[in-house]
Amino acid sequence: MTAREPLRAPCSSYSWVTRWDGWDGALTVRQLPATPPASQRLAPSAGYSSRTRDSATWPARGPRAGSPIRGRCGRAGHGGGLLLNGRAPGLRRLFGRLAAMFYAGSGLLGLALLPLPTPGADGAAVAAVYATAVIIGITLWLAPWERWPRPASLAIVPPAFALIALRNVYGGQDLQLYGVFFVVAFVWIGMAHPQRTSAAMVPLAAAAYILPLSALPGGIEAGLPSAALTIPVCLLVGEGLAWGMSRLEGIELALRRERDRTEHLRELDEMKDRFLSAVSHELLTPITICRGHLEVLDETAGDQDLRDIRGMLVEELDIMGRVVEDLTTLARADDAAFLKVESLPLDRFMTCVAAKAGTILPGRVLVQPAAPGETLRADPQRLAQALVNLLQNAARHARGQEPVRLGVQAEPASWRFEVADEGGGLPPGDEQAMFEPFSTGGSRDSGTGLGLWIVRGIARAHGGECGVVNRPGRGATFWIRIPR
Amino acid sequence: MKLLVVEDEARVASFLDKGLRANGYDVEWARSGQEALHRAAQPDISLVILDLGLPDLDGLDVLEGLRAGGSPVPVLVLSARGSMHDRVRGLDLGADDYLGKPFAFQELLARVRANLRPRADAGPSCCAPAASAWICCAAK
Repeated sequence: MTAREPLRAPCSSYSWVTRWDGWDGALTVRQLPATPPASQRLAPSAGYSSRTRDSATWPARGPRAGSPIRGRCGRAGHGGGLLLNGRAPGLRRLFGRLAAMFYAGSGLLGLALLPLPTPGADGAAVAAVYATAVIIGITLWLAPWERWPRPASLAIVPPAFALIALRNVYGGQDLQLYGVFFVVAFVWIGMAHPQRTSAAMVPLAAAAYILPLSALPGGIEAGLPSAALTIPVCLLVGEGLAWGMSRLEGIELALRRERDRTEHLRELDEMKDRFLSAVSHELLTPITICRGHLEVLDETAGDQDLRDIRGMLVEELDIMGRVVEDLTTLARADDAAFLKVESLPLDRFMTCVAAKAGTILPGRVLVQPAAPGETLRADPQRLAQALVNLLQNAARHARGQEPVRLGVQAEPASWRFEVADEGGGLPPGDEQAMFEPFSTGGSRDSGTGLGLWIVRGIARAHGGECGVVNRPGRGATFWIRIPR
Repeated sequence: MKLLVVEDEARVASFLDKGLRANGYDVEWARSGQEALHRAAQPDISLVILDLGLPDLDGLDVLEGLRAGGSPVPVLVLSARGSMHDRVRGLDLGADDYLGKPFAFQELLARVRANLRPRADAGPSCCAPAASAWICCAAK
């Protein structure tokens, strides 16, 4: 639930909705898990600059090219969690107008019923009360509800109670009519406000109910049985409605979350398709080469030709083998068993990596020895594999005999391993694309295009991260950060 | 008869060159899209075999550029992007044929022959559209 936790926070009492799109609610939601699922890490970023051999394959040319993520739950510019606050103003207006209708409707109904005979009533005063209710209703209809916070609308409740009390003072001995307007007020409170608001309004309603009774013949005692029935009914109506509304809200949120999840899965599916297309392309080229050379092989070919072709076929098969091997490594990166983490002396680990570096870049690696006595918690084989990948990458791009620096630095909570080359750096903007699959920088001499992707997989499996500091025109420093 | 092979991968270009020459064609090799655009517009090229993944331009851009310049030279696209969508797109952009990698060399030869075959409904053997400086002689 951690990834979805942001959903809960804004759903407190006043979170109702943020944009009202009609009662059937086409709800636009922006929500994103805080941590993308592991499978998403396989996917290319939207901004991936295609530089593979068949450059337009990945990402696909055509309708699917460009940003792979264009869904209703649009990822761009999300602020984390549901944007509930953006939907609230519409609903505040809706309930404000509902209150206006209750005010004006009750007033008009009262005015319409005035001609009916009521013993002891002060007709002019009652008419004034009803007329006031109509005027307040019209004012509320026009009020800028969107701009007011939801609790502020409770300010219209005391005037409603006051009007009801006045109507009861001047309305004669008609106790049957007493409770009706209170129920209407609590219907509105229950719909427009969260649970327990009705309970909070009960003392006010009780006072507005009971005090006018003292002005009537028979006094308070005559009205108490009616009050004892009406006020609890109001409480039940208000709280019942508020409970129902909160249930609806919960269902609505759950539906929206499901819709988001489905959308997210669809996006992952598309990414998977594109990835498979790129993988198949990487394997099709060596197959084409092998098949083509064998097909055009002349039966009378000389020994040298045969040797050349055999060497080429072996190399191409090697490439295919490495692609498959790299993919297998990455496919396992999400398994718990991928890493065999142990504690080991940092300096000894760096000595081992330095020895491997010497075979990749003979005489060109400057190793900064690690301070003795420090301990590293990592899978030594996987971490060494990641650093070897960085060294191989440096070996491909370093110019001439420029040295490549390998080192490790202590950070407050992590170790930062660095491989710095003087290979002229990356084209600005390509820094992140380097870690995407099949970003071989344009030629097959640059390896399978999966090396840096594996580096990222290994770093993340350790709970760390990796990146590159680009020095355009001079070189690049690739780094891996592993938590201590 | 000269064919232009537009392919950045040397190992693919080398067997295409070898196989096509063995079948009596003269072959020229262009490694980049720009080179291909320049070379394919020359009248001595009878057919272009075009790979789509080029280092500088996308092969389909080369195709579009060629057709926009008024070149009627037959273009056979050779690509690992072999889905139906890719083939339709390539053909719509002006390719005369589309072959997915990997392919049987015999099929490539047959398609080259088919695309070089003079057509009964073909217009005059020489054309010179007024809007462009393009002049071709369909010496097939």
